[in-house]
Amino acid sequence: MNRLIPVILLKNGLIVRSQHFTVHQSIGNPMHTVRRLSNWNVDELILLDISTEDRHDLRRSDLQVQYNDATLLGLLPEIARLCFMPLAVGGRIRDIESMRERFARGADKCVLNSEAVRQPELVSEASRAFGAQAVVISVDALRHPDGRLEVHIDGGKTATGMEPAAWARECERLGAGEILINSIDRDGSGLGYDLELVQAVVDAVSIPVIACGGVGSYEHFAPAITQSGASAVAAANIFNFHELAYPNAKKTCLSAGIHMRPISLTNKWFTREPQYNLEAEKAKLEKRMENARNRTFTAAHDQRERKMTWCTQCLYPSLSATPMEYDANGLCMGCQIANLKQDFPDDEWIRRGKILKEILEQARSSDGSRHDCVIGVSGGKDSYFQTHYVKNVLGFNPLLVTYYGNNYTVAGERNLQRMSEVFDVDHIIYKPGVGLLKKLNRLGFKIMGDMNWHGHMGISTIPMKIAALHKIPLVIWGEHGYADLCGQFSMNDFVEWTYRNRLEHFGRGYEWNYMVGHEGIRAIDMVAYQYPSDQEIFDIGLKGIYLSNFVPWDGNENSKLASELYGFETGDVPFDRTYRRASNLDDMHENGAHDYLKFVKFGYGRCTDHASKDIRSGVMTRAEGIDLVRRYDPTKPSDIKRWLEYVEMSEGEFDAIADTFRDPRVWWYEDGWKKHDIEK
Amino acid sequence: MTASRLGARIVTVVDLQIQNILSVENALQVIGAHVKVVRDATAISNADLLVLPGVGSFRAAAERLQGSGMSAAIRDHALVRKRPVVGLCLGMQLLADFSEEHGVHTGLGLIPGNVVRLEDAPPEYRVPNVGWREVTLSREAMNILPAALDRRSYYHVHSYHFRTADPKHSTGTSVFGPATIASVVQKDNVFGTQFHPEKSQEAGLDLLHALVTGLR
Repeated sequence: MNRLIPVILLKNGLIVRSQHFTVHQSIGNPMHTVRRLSNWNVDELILLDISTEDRHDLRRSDLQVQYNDATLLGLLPEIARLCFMPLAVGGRIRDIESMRERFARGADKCVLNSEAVRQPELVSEASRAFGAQAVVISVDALRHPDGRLEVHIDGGKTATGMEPAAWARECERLGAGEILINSIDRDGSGLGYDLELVQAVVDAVSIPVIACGGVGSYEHFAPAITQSGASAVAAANIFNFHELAYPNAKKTCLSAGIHMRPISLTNKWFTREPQYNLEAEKAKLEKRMENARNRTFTAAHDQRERKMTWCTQCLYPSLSATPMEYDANGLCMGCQIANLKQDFPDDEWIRRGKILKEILEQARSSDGSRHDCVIGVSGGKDSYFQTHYVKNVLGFNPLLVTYYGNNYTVAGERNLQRMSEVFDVDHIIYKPGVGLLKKLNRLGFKIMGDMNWHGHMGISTIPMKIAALHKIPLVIWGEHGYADLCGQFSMNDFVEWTYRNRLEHFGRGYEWNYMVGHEGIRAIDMVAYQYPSDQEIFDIGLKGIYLSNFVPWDGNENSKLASELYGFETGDVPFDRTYRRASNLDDMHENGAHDYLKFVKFGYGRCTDHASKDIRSGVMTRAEGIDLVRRYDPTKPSDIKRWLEYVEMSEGEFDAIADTFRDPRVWWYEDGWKKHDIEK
Repeated sequence: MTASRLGARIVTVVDLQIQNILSVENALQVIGAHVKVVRDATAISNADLLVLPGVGSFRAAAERLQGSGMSAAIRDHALVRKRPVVGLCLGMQLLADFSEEHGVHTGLGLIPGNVVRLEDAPPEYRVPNVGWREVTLSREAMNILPAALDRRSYYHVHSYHFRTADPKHSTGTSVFGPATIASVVQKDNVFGTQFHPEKSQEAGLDLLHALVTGLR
């Protein structure tokens, strides 16, 4: 039976996306992903640790999942607890003892790479000690411009002069049980496997060969088995970026006639939604409230020296709420991707436009019994642009769907109500009960320092829920927040909407069921936040795409277009915390109290986000941005008053609870809260 | 957890201290059992359901069992007190009379038969037999296991296999080249799987759940 194997690349405790072995972008927390893979009954899992440090950093303390131990060896037993499939573990294995440590923590196989080249006798020794089946040799091959293949080690940095097929044969002789063959030049490219490379290795050995490196679409898997003779096919990136990628990839392999275990979408022993221990979670919350009452703040008691750097082009700080990465010159990933997009030749956007049309064409209702697609709209400038583009430029019939969080500004409310008129489209506005909203506002603030948890989860659930209900196979989102703000992914990933992203980034690991049992909330009260099941999504073929992957995207331009063509109103009252007037009119707290909490936690706010984007698109200088940031980021906004009345809380209580969330790497206490500020 | 919780049956896992039992412990916990780990003979004497996991060499495991007195305690548990035993992978092979792995070594003798080397059947079937193999269950096996577990695939890793003296004790079989091998063995209250249910995803966990709730 052939196997389909997801590879998780771990760097300093977080899953990363890799490109040509050199660029690593942070994807998220392995626990959510492993749970999901168990859910889908995957054939096997390969976990490769490419850490550069012994410790890792989740970067923030407002996430539900925190690790007890910060090292890989500490993480492994936690992963093993969610992993009832064969688990191969690689990275930083130096000797028999380091292998023994991994087996003792739940690994079934160890993956050797550089060390096998340096000390081949380790392969034989390991094979004797643990059995050949427990020893996988990972071979990283680079194809030179002249077509010659060469094995590289040390994460692709060191050439060895060896040919992959010959080295694989030697590994078999030394006692290896399996070969994992990876292509350095195909890594992260999305171009498909180097089939000749895979076949050369398959022909050289009689042990199973696992192909890896380059998969960009589900169709890329099968040829490695049918043409190149691999026993198993593996990939990393694709499984991070597409909804139900594993079952869909399997479906494609099975359709190609490959003999594999059947698709399975549920595992009754692991629900997709995390399970929480209500008593323990209540105790955690109570402890935080006690700290707030006693004014015991972590940041005030931390003695370490605070360090902070900023992107050399925009204003992004090194410690942020987002998984931001910087290159060797201190340029942030957001700027790198923005520069790359600006350098796109026109025909690249034309190519992307064609792909978008194909996706929409596939979703088009053939008999008029349903809408062609759903657009999740807040009534903001981007919603206007999305609807304009899909309906009036491309000619499809969308259903607009809105989660109504009860925090609309006056102008935002008018913008929302105007959409069905100016676009002449159907529009469903979903309004949760206000009593429930008040509870969720309060709980979100107390539990994770964010009253808008309900909004993030509502917005990321309702459009998918309505689409599933009406069997509409496509949901169109605007921009991918992290991709556009911090350039988290390559433009070639064509990142799609996923449950994992919703839970991990929108929900911070707090799924709807977390709230059940708090303030008397029952499961039935939380229907609005319950995501469609994997089975429903799979049966409909439902997927969510981001428009910003296919058309040039600029918030300022979207706002101009919305005003000129459709009477979109910008705010009549300026915001307290940012100079932009056209953003976030759907939620008065999003630019206000919610954003102030980001400042309290991480030391920066939305003005940094807005100014960074404006610097990248060339409409603002860095010096102008710094002036704005220093003026706006620290401002305590006036909408807090409305929120406090809404949820019946005093300002003193608010401030004290907020202070428990201050990040000790940013803030210190010295006659008041202090932090480093960005300088010109 | 959506699946039914057990009435917290205590499952005693024998730790031979030659391999890790973490995965087996985790799997039993997931299906709702209360796990107790034992490392000596006295601790076995009042056990209810005994699980004997194992990876590695038969000889090392058999010597540990005999040297520690656990061999006699397990036989007493199964044959005199008539309490259930579940052997997993090497633990299943240890239920046999003897093994031919690197010499001849005595097992627990709870199910008549011997353990012999698998024969290569290239190109598809090579020793060690590693991977997902479909298992066909007999009617006998389905007295304890739900029919839904028949013809599911389970994760196998082994170079030797259990040849039962009486074919009726081989109640779940899989194909290895021209040979049919015992993937499940069973006699009275003694049960064994050649594969690793703790590494076989939902089907494996379902199987463990059925054993822990059904074996008396």
